Amino acid sequence: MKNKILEVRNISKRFGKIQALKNVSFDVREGEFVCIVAHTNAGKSTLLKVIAGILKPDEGDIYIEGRLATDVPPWERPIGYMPQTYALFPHMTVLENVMFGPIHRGLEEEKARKIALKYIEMVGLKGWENAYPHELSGGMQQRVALARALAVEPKILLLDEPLSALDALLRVRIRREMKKLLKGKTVLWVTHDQEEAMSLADKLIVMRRGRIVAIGKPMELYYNPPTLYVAHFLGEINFIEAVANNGYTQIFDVKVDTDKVGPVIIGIRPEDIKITKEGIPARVKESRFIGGYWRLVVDAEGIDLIVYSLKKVSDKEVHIKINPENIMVFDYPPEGIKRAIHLE
Amino acid sequence: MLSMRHLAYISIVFTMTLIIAPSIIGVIILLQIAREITIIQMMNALRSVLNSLIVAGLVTIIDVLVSVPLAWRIARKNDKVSKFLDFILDSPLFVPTAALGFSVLSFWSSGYYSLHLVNPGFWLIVLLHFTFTHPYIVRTLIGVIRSTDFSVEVAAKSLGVKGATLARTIYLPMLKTGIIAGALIAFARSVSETGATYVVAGSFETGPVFIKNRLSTDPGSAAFAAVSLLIVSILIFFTISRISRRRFLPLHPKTKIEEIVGLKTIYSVNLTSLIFFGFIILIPSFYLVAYLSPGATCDWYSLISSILLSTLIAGLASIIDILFGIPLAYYLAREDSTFRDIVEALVLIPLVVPTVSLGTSLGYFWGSLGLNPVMAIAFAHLSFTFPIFVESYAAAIKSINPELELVAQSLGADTISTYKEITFQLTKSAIASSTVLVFTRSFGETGATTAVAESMNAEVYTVPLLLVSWIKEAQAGLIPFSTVALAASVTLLIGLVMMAVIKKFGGG
Repeated sequence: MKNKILEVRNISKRFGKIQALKNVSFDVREGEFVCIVAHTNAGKSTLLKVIAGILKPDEGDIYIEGRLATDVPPWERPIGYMPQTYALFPHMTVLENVMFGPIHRGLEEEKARKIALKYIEMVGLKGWENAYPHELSGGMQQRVALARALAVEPKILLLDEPLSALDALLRVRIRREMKKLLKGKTVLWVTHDQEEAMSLADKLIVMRRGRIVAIGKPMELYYNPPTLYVAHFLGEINFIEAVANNGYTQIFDVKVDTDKVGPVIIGIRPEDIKITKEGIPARVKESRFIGGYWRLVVDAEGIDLIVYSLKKVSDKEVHIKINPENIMVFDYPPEGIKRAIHLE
Repeated sequence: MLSMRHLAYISIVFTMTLIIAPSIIGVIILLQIAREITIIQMMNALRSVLNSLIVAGLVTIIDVLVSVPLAWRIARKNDKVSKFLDFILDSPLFVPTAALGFSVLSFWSSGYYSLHLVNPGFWLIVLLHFTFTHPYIVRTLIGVIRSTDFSVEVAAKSLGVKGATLARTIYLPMLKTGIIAGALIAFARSVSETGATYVVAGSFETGPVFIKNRLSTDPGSAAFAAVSLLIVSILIFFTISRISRRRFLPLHPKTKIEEIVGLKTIYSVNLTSLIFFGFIILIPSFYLVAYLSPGATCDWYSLISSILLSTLIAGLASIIDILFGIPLAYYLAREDSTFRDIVEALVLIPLVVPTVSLGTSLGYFWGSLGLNPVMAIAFAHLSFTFPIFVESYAAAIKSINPELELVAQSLGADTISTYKEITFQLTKSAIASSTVLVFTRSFGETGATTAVAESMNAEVYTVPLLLVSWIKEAQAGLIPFSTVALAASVTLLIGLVMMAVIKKFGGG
């Protein structure tokens, strides 16, 4: 296993009455691609700023490469930071923007220029060195900001919603390009888009209300989420109320092993329910094409279920079958389902 | 290692010892004097304070309304008209306040070919106060507009947002800091102005006029009025600066400007602001020139040496303002704490102390420390110019996206390099416009300068003091008015040239 390059220990930060971060702890290892994913205002940008040294935490410590860095000013930390707004220096050309870091990290002008040119070429902006930020499109500005953060050759790259200012089509393309560009680098990527996070991350950190609520590999968290909130946040899911007893609970004819006792919630992803010729009878209440597949709502024995189907379903009366492998069982939340999965 | 914060603390210590403490000691002396006055004296003093607040409030509100379109035009339209307006904008500040009072009086009320429209009193005071507050608001706004990144505007335009909606959703929030800073300075100037107000007041008494009238006969009432004016003003400042940080907007975000103004009236608004500038500000300010006649002459030696002296004092004050004002403005713009609010309120104190009482107390203070009169005057000028510089430059820094500075730091630049290479580069023009404000304010100041010189028994002739003495001589029939008009015109021309140099320096 590679070395820990970043250790975040019990970080808390408060802004007046708002608790932005509460007891946040996690590690990042060398070369790891970590995505912090959360709903807006959950404290993810604040966390990134604390790691960059721009904000001081009220409590807790940051270790970078094993050394205590909590009181190290941002300009002495081996990090590269790219804010959501890009914050390109409007009075500097692309080249000057990218050279800014290397020069301030102590390189001579010639060397800094060389490095800057290398990264400008890497992000595909060769020929635009002398353009000013306002002359570039949104996508190009995003790449300048990336080149600028990369040019300090940081040990850790901190990216705050790097794709959020781009339009949807561009977003997916640049996501792929960036994944390639950032291969092998240690990256901490903040986003509110769970799909983006899952497609990029080696390790996923889910936050809610300033706290970490789950850490794990994307697949792990998707199929074995620790809470209703994480299950719901990472993708569409059916929650069904049930009762567990004697080591199992049941949904239709499917028995699910569990050591829980009493009221529980069963979770089934829509793609784990299939429309079949035989099985549990169901009635199609709603059918919508959403690009690539149909999203159906069916009524099976009085329970409404969301089902994804690759083929169009024209019959009203159908049968469904549930894949027993991916069924989840949660404790019934004392605050109620609605409150437990409320996005925040 | 030295950081911007250290520099700010050095500035705060400097400001507190050399600018605020002397002013506060002056206030304490006033309090001593004010101890034994009757309720009636007290009520009279408070009435004059209330008069000042009404005048200042009215003047500031109308100023803001007519200033925004003008500042916008000058800052955003780069044509000959803008350049010309930019050039003459601050010129009323070059007319020494006493001469300004005389000029406004001659234009509106009585004098050479006067309009005979407005008699001395409330409305003439309001008209007068427009002339010397208007430049502060417009100049501060120009500084902010020029430092603002309007890429958001481009984005909004590309989204199809137009006209009044654009103004309401994009421009107004962006201009907020500039409007508030400009309004604070204008309000403070109006509340504390003595020299010119005295000339046009008639029987109406503002706080400073009340003080000047009673300075020798009833020092208790004068002191009480000065202290009340000071306390009320500080409270107003403190409230405004706290509210403004809570995303205060002059209009509720949902208020539709198009409902109030109407899109078609934009042009007439622009026209109104131009007419206002021409007929309420410019012409009355320079009406003195009407007394100019062929063959006019004056004592050139006195005039030129007084211009040199005023330039020296204004230059000295401006340089110290810049050196210590930059870190402090940065601190005020970027910090968010109660301590910051207290510092800001303290910095603004000298601005609201009526210039007569400020000058008197500072004259005693510096005189007792053995300073020579010219240096004492320079320090007095430092007191009332420093807040102007700090407020108007802080407004410009606030309009810069702080994320730019944070990124620069994450890239390896410490706070001082970040300021030098990012913030300073983006606010150069605001430093120039703030410098123009303080230079002109110092160059044209009458009340405090007289008071310092008198309290030190010194014969010092800055340009305003020379002009005041010549106006008196002319009114007594000893010299022709054309002499005063000539001297004022020459001063004005030289002042305009100096301003052009400062602006060139800042813009390049």
